[in-house]
Amino acid sequence: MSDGIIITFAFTCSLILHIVIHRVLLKQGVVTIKSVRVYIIGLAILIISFLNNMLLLPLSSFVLYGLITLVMYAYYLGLCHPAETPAGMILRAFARKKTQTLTELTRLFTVQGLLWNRIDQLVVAGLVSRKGERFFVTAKGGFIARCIWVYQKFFNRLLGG
Amino acid sequence: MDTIILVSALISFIVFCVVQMIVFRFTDEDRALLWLMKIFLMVEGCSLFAGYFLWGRGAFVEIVLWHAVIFMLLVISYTLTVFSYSEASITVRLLGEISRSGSRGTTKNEIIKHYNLGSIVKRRLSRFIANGELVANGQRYRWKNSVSLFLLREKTVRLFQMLFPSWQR
Repeated sequence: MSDGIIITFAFTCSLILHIVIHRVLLKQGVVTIKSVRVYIIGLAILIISFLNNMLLLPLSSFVLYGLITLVMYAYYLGLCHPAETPAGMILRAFARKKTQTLTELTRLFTVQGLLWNRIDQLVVAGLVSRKGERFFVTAKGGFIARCIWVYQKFFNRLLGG
Repeated sequence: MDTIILVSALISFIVFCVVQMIVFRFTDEDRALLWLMKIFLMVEGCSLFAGYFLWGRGAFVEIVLWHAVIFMLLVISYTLTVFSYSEASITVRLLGEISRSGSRGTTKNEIIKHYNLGSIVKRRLSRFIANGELVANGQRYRWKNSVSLFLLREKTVRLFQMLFPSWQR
């Protein structure tokens, strides 16, 4: 049980520091995924606890802390790259009005916001290249697309999106 | 005990992936998230059962508690990173569309012919309907006041947005 308390303490310290750093950076007009590096402090707390023989289950404690940080990272990544999320926008529309038609719901979105901005992001990330009106996948983009295809094939998820 | 917890959590996760691979071949695509939850609960239940016989009552509670938390976080991490991006990410789908066009490349007009606002919204609506969160009545859709997986995720995102505000909102 003491391991749980140490992990909670390590994570809470890192989380509070992360919130402070995020808000300070925000005032300077910067939001960066690099701020998650602050979770190293929690890791340091765990290492110190381990060196002082305070952790009864060191391996599990490190893995648990790593997984909590990974979940945190996944959510924070979404906040750092905000985009129109269709499911979220549809839910908000239903929160305003209980009954909606397909036309009303489709009107919530723009092709620019939902599709073209995302292609631009792919171009900026170097996964897609543009020549005139045509888009081509780069070697890096092709590799990622193939990995996703293999996963989708294995799990029978054919087309996402 | 430390190694037992980690190895058992890892085995549970591998079993979870294998069962998912099998179940997803026979189930409705739109109910994927519900099935993931069911598979998680099933594997967790089997682990509890196996753990009780393997380790007895002595260390059972501690091992099971640690195992459950690590296994749950493994499943959440997998769902948030690999599964949700493959399942619902528009960016990933667009990358796939462009990749499938090969060396010929593709244009915006070609993409929009089979992947557009209508298909994106319809896909989300059919997922909500399959999960029992939405009722379709002809062309009209009505939200049911049920406990929703999507709402739960939305509420978590809202909490994160409160803790980590952004100038873009």
